[in-house]
Formats: sequence, structure tokens, C-alpha cells
Amino acid sequence: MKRNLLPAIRLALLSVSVVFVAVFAAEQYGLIRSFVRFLCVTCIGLSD
Amino acid sequence: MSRLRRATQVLGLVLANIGFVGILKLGVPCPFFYCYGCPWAAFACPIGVLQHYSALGLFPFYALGLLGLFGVALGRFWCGWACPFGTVQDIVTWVTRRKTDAVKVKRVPWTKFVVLAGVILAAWIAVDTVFCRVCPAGSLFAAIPHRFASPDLTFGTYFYVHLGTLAAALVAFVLIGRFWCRYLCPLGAVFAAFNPVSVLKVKADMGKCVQCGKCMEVCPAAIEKPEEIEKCTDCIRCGKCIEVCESEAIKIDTSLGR
Repeated sequence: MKRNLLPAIRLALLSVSVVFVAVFAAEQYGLIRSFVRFLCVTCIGLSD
Repeated sequence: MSRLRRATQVLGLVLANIGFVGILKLGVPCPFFYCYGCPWAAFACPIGVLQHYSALGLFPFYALGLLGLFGVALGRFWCGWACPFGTVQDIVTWVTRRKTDAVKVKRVPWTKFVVLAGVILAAWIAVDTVFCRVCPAGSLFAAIPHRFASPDLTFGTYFYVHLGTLAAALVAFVLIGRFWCRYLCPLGAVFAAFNPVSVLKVKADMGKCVQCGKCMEVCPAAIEKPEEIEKCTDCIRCGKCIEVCESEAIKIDTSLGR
């Protein structure tokens, strides 16, 4: 009999994702926010 | 459904730009392709974040976790319903009044995965966000707006590179609907990996299907068979197939267990 593994796969992916966010959000949020707040002007071809 | 999709696309563009209020510039990667170099950007471009982390030799747990949540919930729905760069492609298709592609190109599902791997690898090798320097979305949403917002900044080499890639992308959009999403989008590749397992799906009931082929004629992802829609990595869940299906064989499915 073929088992439907889809719910288990979803639950596993969801759990890993939630753990990643819950454990690392406090540590990595600030760095990612700095990417949004401080513009890399040379990346977009200005002032290089 | 088309009207609702247009409304959510406009909402996606508005939300992407609420960063004009400085406090709303957040450290949250968005689930669509939008340059955080835009003067008003509120969220981080996930591909930019992945490149930064690759260049720094760090693992982006938080960003990947968020992308995982977005992907498991809705798969490539984000591409069809919220992505501003996808909206640009839809606008080009609408302006040209084209119903089918001007150039017939075979669907090649793996190219975007190669682009994603190349983008991350290039950032790691060059210790720089290499893809950002040629990204056509960055051209449209950041380089050009910044040129007007900050006229004191001088033009650099990559500004012209950006203009070139944007021009090439626009030509491709004129010839092939959703060209970027189909073949090149690295973020599309991330969500494509979740398409077969996402909670929200588009499903075709082959018992009801009368094989009229109308759904495949309007598909912007160039999917060839209705039975492929559900698990196809190219489906952007736009729902155009649902609208044209007279036998009501294609539906949105959100059942958790199947």
C-alpha cells in the first residue's frame, strides 16, 4: 500500500522553518535590516 | 479572479514601498523579487540576503526559515499574485495585447535552479553580491529611481550595465510572457522547490477534464498538460487556467492532507 508522505514532508519543512526563524531571528534580523537601511550605491551603478 | 489578482499585485507593490517611512524599513526578507536598494524599500530582497550571507560565509537560518514558511504555505503563488517584477511582466504582456508568446520556446524547468546556484556560488567566490550588479529588477526599482532621487550621485559603469540588462529583459518580456519567472528567476527557483508540497495548490480533476486545451493556451508558465499543473515547479498559481476552464475541472486546493 502506497503511503501518502505529503503531510509528513510538510510538517517537517514547517518545523525546520519555524525553528530557524524562532532561534535565529533575534541574531540575524539586525544584519538583514542593515541591508535595507544602508544602500550599496555601487551595486546599483552609482558613484563608482 | 483576474481583478483580485491585479489588486493583490498592486498591494504587493505598495507594501514593498512602505519603507519611505524610515521606521518601516524592516529586517524581513520579502516573499517576492524586489530590490532593497529602492529608496522606499521596506523589506529585504531574499536573493540579496542569500548573496550577502554567502559572501560573508554565514548560513542564513532566519532568511531560509522565512522563505520556508512562505514556500510551504503558498509555493509560487507569490510569483503570480504579489511579485512586483512579475507585475511588470504582466503589464508588458497587457500593453502588447499578446495572447500567446511571439516566440515559441520549449519549457525548461531547470534553468532557474542553475541561476540560483550560480548566484550563490558567485557571491561566495567573489565575496560580493555579484548578481545585484546585473539584476534587471535592481535596474528598474533601484538604479533608475535613485538616479532621480539623488541627482548628486554620479553614473558608474554598472548603471549602464543595469540599463542594458533591463532593456534585454524588457525585450524578452515582449516576446515571451513571464520570461523571467519561467527561465531565470532565482527566487522563483526557491519557491518552485516548494510547489510540489505547498498547502495551496492548483489541481486539475482529470475525470472532469474534456481535454479542450484552453487552460494550456492561456498558461503564462507554458505548462503542457493539465495533469502537470499540481506538482509542476513552473506553475505560478495565477489562476488563468481556472478562469477559462468551462468544465470546472481546475480548482484551487488547500487541503492539508493531500
